[in-house]
This record gives sequence, structure tokens and C-alpha cells, in this order.
Amino acid sequence: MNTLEKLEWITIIGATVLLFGLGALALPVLDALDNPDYYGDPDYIVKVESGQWYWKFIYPDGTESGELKIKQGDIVRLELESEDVIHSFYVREMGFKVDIIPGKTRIQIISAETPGEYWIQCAEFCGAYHGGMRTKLIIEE
Amino acid sequence: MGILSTFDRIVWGLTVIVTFIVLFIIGGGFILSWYPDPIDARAAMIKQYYDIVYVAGMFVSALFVGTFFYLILKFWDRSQPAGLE
Repeated sequence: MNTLEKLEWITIIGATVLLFGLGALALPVLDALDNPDYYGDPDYIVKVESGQWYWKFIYPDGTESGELKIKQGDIVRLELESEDVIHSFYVREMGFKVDIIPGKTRIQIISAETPGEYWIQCAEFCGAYHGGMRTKLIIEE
Repeated sequence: MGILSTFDRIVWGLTVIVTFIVLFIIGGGFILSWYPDPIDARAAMIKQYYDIVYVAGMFVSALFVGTFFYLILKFWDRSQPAGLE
């Protein structure tokens, strides 16, 4: 086997190992993203209504708010619905987006460890004021 | 020895390493990465995977780009006029 053939094999084997290695490492991450029970049983449910161009959060006691306020460490089940077009619930620091399709309820369970204020941004173009369709996620100590 | 001498291999390796370092710096590294600080366990897991892909992608890029630079260095025909004289 000459040098060029060796290089060719190293390239093929190296690329294959890299591809399958990254694929194998991605599996638990994909599972964590898709598994609704990742954090276990939720402490309470918050209904999330979205529409052009607002977010509305309805807490278990019936209170409505324009911002999502949860306590540090709480496991919260979000039930997301859209009143009109497709929206997307996106918190950068939580590393996920959930597309909210009209007529369907999407479920996402969240739990935050770091107190602070973070942006909830619509991440699916939903009309003229899509860019302004954002609100705060407040994690309280 | 094949088509590459030991000196060639050292220069090639160094070119790839230097390219990796340059890409790492201009890419922002870990600390200045555009990726936000995670606030929960799942986000931390996603970021950890992102960092692995980030470095693996940069390594492959450095290998290709570094090899390209190395080939330019090695096979540049210096006997030809550069057109800048």
C-alpha cells in the first residue's frame, strides 16, 4: 500500500469514525429534547396562548400574565396553543424551540436552575410584528 | 519514505495546527462563543454537544484548509514571475 492509498484510507476511516462518533453522542441529546418526561412529573401546568402578536400565560389558579414567571427548580409543564398562525416558543438559554401549530396543543416541560430574566421570542415568522413578539421568562429564587 | 519526507510531514502538521488555532480564535473559542449560557440541565447537555461538534467541525476544517495552505506552500513555483515585479 503506497502513501496515497494510506492517506485515502485514513481519510475514509477518520471521516466514518467522526460521523458515527458524533451521531452516537447526539442520541442522548436528541432523547433529552424529545422526551417529555426528561425532568420527571411536573409540579404544575401553565397554559400558553400565542397569537398575532402576543404571549399569554395562564397559571393553575386562573391568573393570566403577559410574562412567564416560574420559581427556580420548579418543573413546569407548558401547554402551548396558537390562536391564529404558526408561532414558535424560543428561549435561547434553554436551547430549544417549539413550533406552535394552530389547532394543536404542544407540550414542553421546562425547569430552570439559574434565576434571572430571559427573552421568550417567537421564532417562526408570523406577520408584520413578528420581531416584536417577545416577552420575559422570569426565574425567581 | 513515500512522497512526503519527515520535514514535509512536520510542516504539514504545523500548518494544520496553526490553522486550527487561528480558526479557534476567530470563531470566538469557548468563552466568547455566541452560544448563550445554559440555565437548565438539558440546555447544558445541548451546549456540551454543541461544543463537541464545534471543535470536531473546526478540526476537519483545519485539516482541509491547512492541507490546502500546505500544498500552496510546497508546490508554489517560485521560478515563475508573480506578476508584481
